[in-house]
Amino acid sequence: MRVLIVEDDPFLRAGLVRALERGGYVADAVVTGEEALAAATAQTYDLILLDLGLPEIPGLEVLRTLRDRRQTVPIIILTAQDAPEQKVDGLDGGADDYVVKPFDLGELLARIRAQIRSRERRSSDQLQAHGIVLDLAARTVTRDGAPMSLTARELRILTVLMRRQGQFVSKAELESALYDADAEIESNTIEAAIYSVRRKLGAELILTARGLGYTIPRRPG
Amino acid sequence: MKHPRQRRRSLLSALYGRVALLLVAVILGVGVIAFFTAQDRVNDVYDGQLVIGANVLRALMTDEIREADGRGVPLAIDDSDILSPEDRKAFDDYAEWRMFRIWRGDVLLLRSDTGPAAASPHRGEGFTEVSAPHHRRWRIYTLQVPGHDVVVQVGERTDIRAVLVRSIAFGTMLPLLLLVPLVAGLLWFSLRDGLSALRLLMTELSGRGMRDLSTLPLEPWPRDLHPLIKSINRLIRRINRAVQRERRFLDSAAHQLRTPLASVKLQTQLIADEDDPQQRAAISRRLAESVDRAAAMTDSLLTLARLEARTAGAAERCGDLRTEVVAALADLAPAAARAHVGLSYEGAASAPCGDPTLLRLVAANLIENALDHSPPRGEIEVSVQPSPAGYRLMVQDGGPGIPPHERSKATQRFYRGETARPNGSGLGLSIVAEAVRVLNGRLILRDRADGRQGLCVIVDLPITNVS
Repeated sequence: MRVLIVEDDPFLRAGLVRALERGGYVADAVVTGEEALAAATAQTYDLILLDLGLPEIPGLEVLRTLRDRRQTVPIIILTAQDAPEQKVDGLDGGADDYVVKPFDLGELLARIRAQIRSRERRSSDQLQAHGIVLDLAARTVTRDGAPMSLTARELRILTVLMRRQGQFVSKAELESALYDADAEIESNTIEAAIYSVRRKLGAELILTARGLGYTIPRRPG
Repeated sequence: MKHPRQRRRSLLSALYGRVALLLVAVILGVGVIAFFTAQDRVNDVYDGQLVIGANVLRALMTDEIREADGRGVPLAIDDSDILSPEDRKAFDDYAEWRMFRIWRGDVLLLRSDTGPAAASPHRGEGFTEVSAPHHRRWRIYTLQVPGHDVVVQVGERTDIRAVLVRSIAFGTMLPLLLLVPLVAGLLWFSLRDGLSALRLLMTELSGRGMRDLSTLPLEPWPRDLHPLIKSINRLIRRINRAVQRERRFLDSAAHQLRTPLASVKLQTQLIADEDDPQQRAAISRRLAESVDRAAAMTDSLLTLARLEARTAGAAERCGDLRTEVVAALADLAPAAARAHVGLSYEGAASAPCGDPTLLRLVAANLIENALDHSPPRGEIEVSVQPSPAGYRLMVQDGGPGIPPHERSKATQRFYRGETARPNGSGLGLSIVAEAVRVLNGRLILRDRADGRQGLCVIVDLPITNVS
């Protein structure tokens, strides 16, 4: 899952990137409102964390511009402005949630999961398919009740496929979910990761179709 | 501000005292006028009576005088011959107060028992006043009887007049004096009533809560109080604006502190379960830098708050602008070197103008600001030159500058312009502006005069008179 962080404080920005990576997300970080608009146009994000006190274009304007462009991506405002009227402005401006600095990391991650969950019309953070249970909050996987050990990369691939169960996900989409924009991607990384997931969770879990990509079917094939 | 002494007294009693004094003065004035008018009239009437008296006496004596003339003998010195007993009786009733004398030549023919001693008659006609023992004065009318060498003198003690004058004056004053307590009472109550609006206003104002900064309506108050209420309202509005400004400042200050604090909190949560040693090092570096950032922000806020509490005026110490600018340049030289920005200084050998701490603050903030906005391999030019009023500090950078329409806002607290750097607190130019205000100087932002891109900040400072 890909998250865009818009924050002008360099230390907070770096901290957020690290925190989200550890939470299993791919995080892109930008500083200004202009960069945020450019990034949101170039990439599809699962969520945007938006600071309001930005140089150049204020955060609220970024928010309105995104909504005017019919971008429905969940947006959480992350700001130092705590006055009720500012919260009202933010939420009415199109934000889905409003978090005041300083925030608790656990709470912020829970709010991010909640936004993505409701966007995917799920009622829980547990994804299930063919005896495999993926807990998005705890970042654990069980197979028929037994805990399985997956690497971060395998977990991300599995997460994308289970969230979009029944749909084909292209290799490019998987790559984008694995790496931030600047990283170099080796050509066989995805294949290697798919191979090891199949090895750990069962060969029949993930199906491949040439030209379409990978899928976890709704019913066992 | 000095207040006139009478403001410390009660307005009511001061006003009352003055009006009461006026009342007493009016009554005294009326008394004095009544006294002199009565004296004038009484004198006229009594003098007239003396003239009539003398003429009556002469008329009564006409026969006796003619007879004596006919006989060629002196007038008999027997008053019964001249005045009938009735005439004398009538005269005797006022004997104590009145006198008469009849002379022929220098011989006293006839006199009353009363009157001052006199050796010879007064020559000429008219009134004279003569002193007599026991502080008595007599006013005497002398009448020459034409054709005969006879002089008739009729007199009267002046104190009979004084008694009458006094009684008339007293009669006029008495009702006024009786009215005094009544008028004084009425005056007290009407003044109190008139000033009750002021008391009400006072109650209204003192009954207000700390946070009630609404203005007073004019309608319920008497027109005389409108200027006062308008002044109070102006004051309230000024206080209101100041409070609003403070509130906005506190809000912004809280926001500015929350971001580094959010970073501190996030890094501490991250470091707790970070296993990667490289990541741990990065996180702890960010943690330290966030704390530094919060500390720097706190320092800036405190500096600004302290500056704002200071009034412009004579410095306690006199510093040297050149010394402080050079010291600030030395402090920032390492940072400039890291950013590959050149520093240059040009200027006066010494420039005594104002509190050294403030001079340092101005110089350091301006140079730091320039450094923040300078592109790599840019140059910051600093100069101190004498100016007509004192000294001029000029700091020029090669940064993007501030567009003209933003310059007036640039010194506002937490202003971060279109060209702001993410690291800026938005307080640097506010601190400079406040320090320059305390130094009685002038701050100017403009484009560089040499046509190159960049901001030129000029601070004009007066030569300080050390108090």
